[in-house]
Amino acid sequence: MSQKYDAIVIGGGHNGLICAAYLARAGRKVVVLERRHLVGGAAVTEEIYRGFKYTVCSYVVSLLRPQIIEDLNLPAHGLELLPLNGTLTPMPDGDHLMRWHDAGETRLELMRHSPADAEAYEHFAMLMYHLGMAVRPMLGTTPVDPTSLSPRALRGLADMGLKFGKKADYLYDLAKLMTMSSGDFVEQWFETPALQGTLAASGIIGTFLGPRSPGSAYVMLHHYMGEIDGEFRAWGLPRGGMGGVSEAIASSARSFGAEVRCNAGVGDVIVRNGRARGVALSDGEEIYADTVISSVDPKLTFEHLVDSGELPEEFRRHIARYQIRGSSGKVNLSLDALPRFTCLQHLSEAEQLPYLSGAMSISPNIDHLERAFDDAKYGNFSRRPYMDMTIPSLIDPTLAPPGKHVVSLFCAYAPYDLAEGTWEDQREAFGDAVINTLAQYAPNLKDIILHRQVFTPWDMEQTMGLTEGNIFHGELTLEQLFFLRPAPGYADFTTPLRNMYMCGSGCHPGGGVMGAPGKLAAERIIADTR
Amino acid sequence: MPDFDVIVIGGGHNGLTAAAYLAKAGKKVVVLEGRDHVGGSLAHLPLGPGDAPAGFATVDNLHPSVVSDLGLGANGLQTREGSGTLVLGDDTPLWLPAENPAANLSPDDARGFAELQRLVNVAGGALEPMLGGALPNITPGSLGEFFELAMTGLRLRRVGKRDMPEVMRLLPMTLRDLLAEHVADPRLRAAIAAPALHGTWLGPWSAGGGYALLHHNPPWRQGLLTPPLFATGGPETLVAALEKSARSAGATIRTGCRVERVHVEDDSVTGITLDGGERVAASVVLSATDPTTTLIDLVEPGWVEPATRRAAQQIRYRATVATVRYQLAAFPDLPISEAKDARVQIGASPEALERAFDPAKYSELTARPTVELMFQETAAGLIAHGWVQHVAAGSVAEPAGREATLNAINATIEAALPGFSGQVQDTAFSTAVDFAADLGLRGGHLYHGELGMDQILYMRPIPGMYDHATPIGGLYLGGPGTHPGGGVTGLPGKLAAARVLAD
Ligand SMILES: Cc1cc2nc3c(=O)[nH]c(=O)nc-3n(C[C@H](O)[C@H](O)[C@@H](O)COP(=O)(O)OP(=O)(O)OC[C@H]3O[C@@H](n4cnc5c(N)ncnc54)[C@H](O)[C@@H]3O)c2cc1C
Ligand SMILES: Cc1cc2nc3c(=O)[nH]c(=O)nc-3n(C[C@H](O)[C@H](O)[C@H](O)COP(=O)(O)OP(=O)(O)OC[C@H]3O[C@@H](n4cnc5c(N)ncnc54)[C@H](O)[C@@H]3O)c2cc1C
Repeated sequence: MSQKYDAIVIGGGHNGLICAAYLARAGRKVVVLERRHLVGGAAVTEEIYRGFKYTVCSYVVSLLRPQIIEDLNLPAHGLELLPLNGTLTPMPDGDHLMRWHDAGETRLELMRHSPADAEAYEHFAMLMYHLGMAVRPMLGTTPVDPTSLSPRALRGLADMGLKFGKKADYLYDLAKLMTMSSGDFVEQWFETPALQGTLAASGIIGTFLGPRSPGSAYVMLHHYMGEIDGEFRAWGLPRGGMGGVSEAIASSARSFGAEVRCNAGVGDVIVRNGRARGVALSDGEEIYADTVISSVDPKLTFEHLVDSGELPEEFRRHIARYQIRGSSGKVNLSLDALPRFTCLQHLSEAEQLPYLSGAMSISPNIDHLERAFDDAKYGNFSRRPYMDMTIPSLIDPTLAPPGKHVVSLFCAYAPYDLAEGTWEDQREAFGDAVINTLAQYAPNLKDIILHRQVFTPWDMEQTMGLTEGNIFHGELTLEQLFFLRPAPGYADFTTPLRNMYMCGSGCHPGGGVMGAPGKLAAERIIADTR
Repeated sequence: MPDFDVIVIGGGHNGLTAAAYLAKAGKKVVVLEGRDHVGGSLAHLPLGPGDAPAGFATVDNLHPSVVSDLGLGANGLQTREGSGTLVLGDDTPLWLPAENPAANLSPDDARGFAELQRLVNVAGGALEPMLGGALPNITPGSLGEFFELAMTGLRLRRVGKRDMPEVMRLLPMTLRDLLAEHVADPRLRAAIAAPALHGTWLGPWSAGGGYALLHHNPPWRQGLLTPPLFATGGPETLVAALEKSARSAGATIRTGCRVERVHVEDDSVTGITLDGGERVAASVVLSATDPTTTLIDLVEPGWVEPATRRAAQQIRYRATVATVRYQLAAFPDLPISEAKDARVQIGASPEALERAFDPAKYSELTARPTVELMFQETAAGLIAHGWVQHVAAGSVAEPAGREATLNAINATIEAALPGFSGQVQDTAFSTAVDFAADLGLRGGHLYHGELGMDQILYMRPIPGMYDHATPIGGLYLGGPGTHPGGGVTGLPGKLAAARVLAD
């Protein structure tokens, strides 16, 4: 086959699909090549057990850029976001802390624990809102390279300076978030351990840091940024599970004329004379295009798909040192009934439903999270993990047979490199640690489990191609963000190979079902290849 | 009628430095020190038969400008470089001689070490004005200030397109990742990481270690693994030299005078009251004790506005340093004789350092401390100084915890240097609890506030208050809780004095 395209996108995760959709919308002839039998990458729904549809990896949408939803007309292609109710934190003493979607109700609930916290929470929410607003434009712009002396870069720097100057009130708050640990940051605000733990937990997601390490507060802000697009703290579950997002984007891309091919794993990028010419699929088929775009992570792209001899030595070194340690696992369950949390036992089953229709967070305090990290840093999975739990079938009943449920458990920590054994023989032990920890809060759990899928970092690498199982295609630490992501000089979606680009989560502004890298890369490519 | 132009609270080395600079500039200055001798943590506890007030051994990072401006040499300060660093642990010892730290490294590590050293020097050079001087105003009010700020930026740009991102990414990194990028030998990594963590609440796995590395290897030291710099005759010679310099310029130094209150009228200071009730009047007060104590406890209530109060209360002082000093009958058996003059690092991998940090995070007892040991022959005999990190203040509050910790430290040293305990004649063990009680230091924190990415530069001691002035007229801060931070540099005191003189 010698059909020639304007652009090939390697990988059909949401970023690859978004990039392709924008390119097709601009009139380019594009093909997306996805290795698996379905699109979506880390945003998929799969019927692992008959009748039970799991959102295998990612489980909530919060960061997806509203502009993308609009540009690609995603609602018309089936995207529907169902709101989550809030966050329930069961406490070891049998009490609970519930932060509702509704600010007034949250205030009442916080009053029960600490009037000071109830008071502070409103100020905290305002601050995070303003900081999010201050930083959010960053999600929509390519980072400026401060080392460059080009007019474009200098103008960019001057612009940034001006914008920053206007936000001077928040300058120091922003500086604190960029440099503090999430634990220290929330401790400055709140005294209730369950509130501290739950807020600090968003600082440890996808990064190999504990809540006591500086840098984790930035990860917290990264997660908050999405929440201000909708209502504050409004996380959404797509109808049909996370695959719903990906299917909608794929459908949109096709409607603009993009081709999306599954079961088309790329083996090599074909490079001649310093230019990418196309790709060779694993089965030998060669496909040619003027532009090649990779949505898979930088390590996979430059250490496996591109022949390293084609890359400058310094760039290779920068990719080699790029940190992409996996740190989380996923446990998905089929349940025969709803779990009964000890902290809700004073309520009738119907009264419990609103509490269960949001996220449930096993984060009783900061130390719980930090101790979970202590295990991981020496190469063990956490004996008592942190968990973020949802029951998607309560929100979208089509995901499970009537009366039954699916549960999604995002768990930290699960290091990719184990000190002893392999993930193949440790997998179920990790699953047991998760279930045992959760069962302390929901004692009926073990009796109602019908099926259990334990998805380790190793599985994420094997199945989705996520190097080391890192959920964000690279850790969100300061030394690999902004103009340093993924490598100095290449934060603008270009690569050392002319006409080859990157568009996945390993690019600015990083991971999450956000779409920003895909969109920004497409804009860059359209500008470069006019 | 004011009694003095300037009152300096606290006779630690920074208070003395500030007083000397102010007196030299013709100000009438008094230093009020609460204890019965000056020197602060440099003269913490007497030890041994001569009751020598041996604080600790080295004056590594003392800024050369302080030495020359105050004529410390002429006033008796003599320094002598040590021989290098010896790393001991479960493994075979690693000897890193001062004249060529790479001598015993593998060729790969020698290359990696040279590159890391180069990077630290480039970064230090680019940031020198910030690490060793006052910070340029961040909201440039005048063209001149704007120029200064731009120059700092340009200096960073001058390091070149290739190194600039390297410098910028170095600062927030974990020491573990930074060191792993350059060198392989865990003992070498530990030798570099351990001193970088002084005064922090970080392990090698915590982000922000890169900045701490620069802080402890400042540009005026030129490099990594620089040899320890001993004050001949002990640190008291530094204290004595500072005291002499200040007195000869006309400063008054009073000991046994604990300041209890700083008085304010119309948003400006008017003087202080001592714990005995004596009042001393002055329109400028420079406090060299920690910022929270100054702003919250010493200043008359009501004058510090709520936002500043809140920020001052949020400064973190989680102290995890303990020191132990042994009076020895003779040197223990050392694997190499040069180690008598070396920094001996006990704990031979970043993992060992991290495991030492783990219990501190939960205020639990340390079971496997890591120790940095230095020997010093003084008039009072042979002393071994140990710096132990991390020992959480909370874990040594009770006598049982204190005893268990000291036992763990003794056992660690004995395991690394068999026969050591047999030579011990006397032991002085100080923890954060002692530093708090004896030196009046909040949390017992020797750096007057943790060294962390959010508590440095423009955020030290509190965000925006980086120029040693406070919102209260005439009140200045000049201890290690202010820019550029802790250690024996003399810089906070010097910069605060300069600020007073400029105003
Ligand atoms: C045993 C030991 C070893 C050390 N080793 C090293 C080392 O090797 N290298 C290094 O760089 N650093 C070392 N340090 C740390 C170093 O001493 C500190 O970081 C330094 O910055 C302290 O600064 P300072 O001398 O200005 O203040 P401090 O030593 O804290 O002195 C403050 C003074 O203020 C006085 N004071 C407090 N409140 C009042 C009041 N209300 N009224 C009157 N007086 C008051 C106190 O009595 C004290 O004398 C060591 C410290 C100790 C204790
Ligand atoms: C367990 C888990 C939970 C998460 N939870 C959330 C969450 O709740 N909310 C949130 O916002 N984010 C979450 N994330 C992060 C988010 O899902 C990812 O950052 C994001 O989906 C990545 O999108 P992407 O398009 O950049 O890359 P990917 O989704 O990784 O897509 C890359 C695609 O490339 C394909 N591919 C790989 N190799 C080849 C090849 N050689 N040839 C062709 N195709 C190839 C893969 O199969 C995959 O489809 C989670 C991630 C994980 C793993």
